[in-house]
Amino acid sequence: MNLDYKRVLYINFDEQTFEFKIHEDLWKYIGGIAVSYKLALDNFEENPMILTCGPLSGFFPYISKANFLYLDSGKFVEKYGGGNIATNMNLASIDAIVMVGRPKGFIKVTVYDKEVLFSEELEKDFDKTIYDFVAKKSTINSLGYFSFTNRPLDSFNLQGGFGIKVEASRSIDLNDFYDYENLYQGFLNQYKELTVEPRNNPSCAGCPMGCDNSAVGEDDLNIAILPRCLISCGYAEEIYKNIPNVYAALNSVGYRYHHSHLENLPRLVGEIRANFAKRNS
Amino acid sequence: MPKKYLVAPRSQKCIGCLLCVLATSRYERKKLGTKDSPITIKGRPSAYKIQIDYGEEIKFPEKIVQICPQNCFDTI
Repeated sequence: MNLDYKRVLYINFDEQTFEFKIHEDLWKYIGGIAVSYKLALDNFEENPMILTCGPLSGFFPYISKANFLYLDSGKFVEKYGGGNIATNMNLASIDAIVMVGRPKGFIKVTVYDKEVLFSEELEKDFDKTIYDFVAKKSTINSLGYFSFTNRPLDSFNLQGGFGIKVEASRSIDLNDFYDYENLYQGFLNQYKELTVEPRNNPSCAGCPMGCDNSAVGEDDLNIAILPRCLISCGYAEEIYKNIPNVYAALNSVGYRYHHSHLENLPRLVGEIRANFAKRNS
Repeated sequence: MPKKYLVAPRSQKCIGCLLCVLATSRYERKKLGTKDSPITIKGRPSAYKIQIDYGEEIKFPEKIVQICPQNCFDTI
């Protein structure tokens, strides 16, 4: 969790290099899809794949998803999926991973606090390993179960694949435990506002529902910008599109966002989309 | 009153939501994170295992029992 800036990991699959960068300018984009769009626009020439988490991923119930963004024929394709990648990224203080180049074979990427290790694997070994995030040929998922798509992606066809493991190496001191705890329990008790039923399926990190949709993406959902920036589960949109709720949650863990930052988000995202369309035309 | 210990007799029901891991870290250490938690979830989806580190004291086991949506925990 970074309170005053966003920490971005840049990975180059062609050269197998990495770099951590601090972006103060991304702070106002809060997280999730807004940060993905901005990074995609800034790195447009390199045809990046971008993975982002939200500022509250893993800290509050139902904020359990990650966003994967790539470009297909000059258009943004956004995918959302669960598992534990978003929580691990946030707990490793990584707000986004920008990946350029495409792996030819199968690459295992292990992300530590300040270090990234690459190792080339045989396909059979690659398939046996459980990754926090894996993209192979036309499939994308977390932990081999939580898919980012509802159907195989024809537009995203890797020759090989890559799997990412993130070491959740940090923990955050709670300055106001009781304030946080009240909010946490309040959100947890709002489970009836979710548009899915509790079941016994494997569940995304931070979500107690175990719903029937945990294994599939959110391709068919049309969700408001604010929940998409926090990357809450699409089925918890009602809880996390409420600005006072989100403001209180952000402040309880130390973020100093104001109401105006949250209210401005749709405009910021709209501006990026307009810039992108202008660049393409 | 005798001290209570947390046990996970129904760990095969675990859905891997990590609520117990995060809650232990929160209640015991006043921290947000999975790193310092005495509870660890191992395995893969549909085959999770709950590991409890008994070398560390869990002062509020009832809260962990309460937070698990699958009722995996008990106190003894």
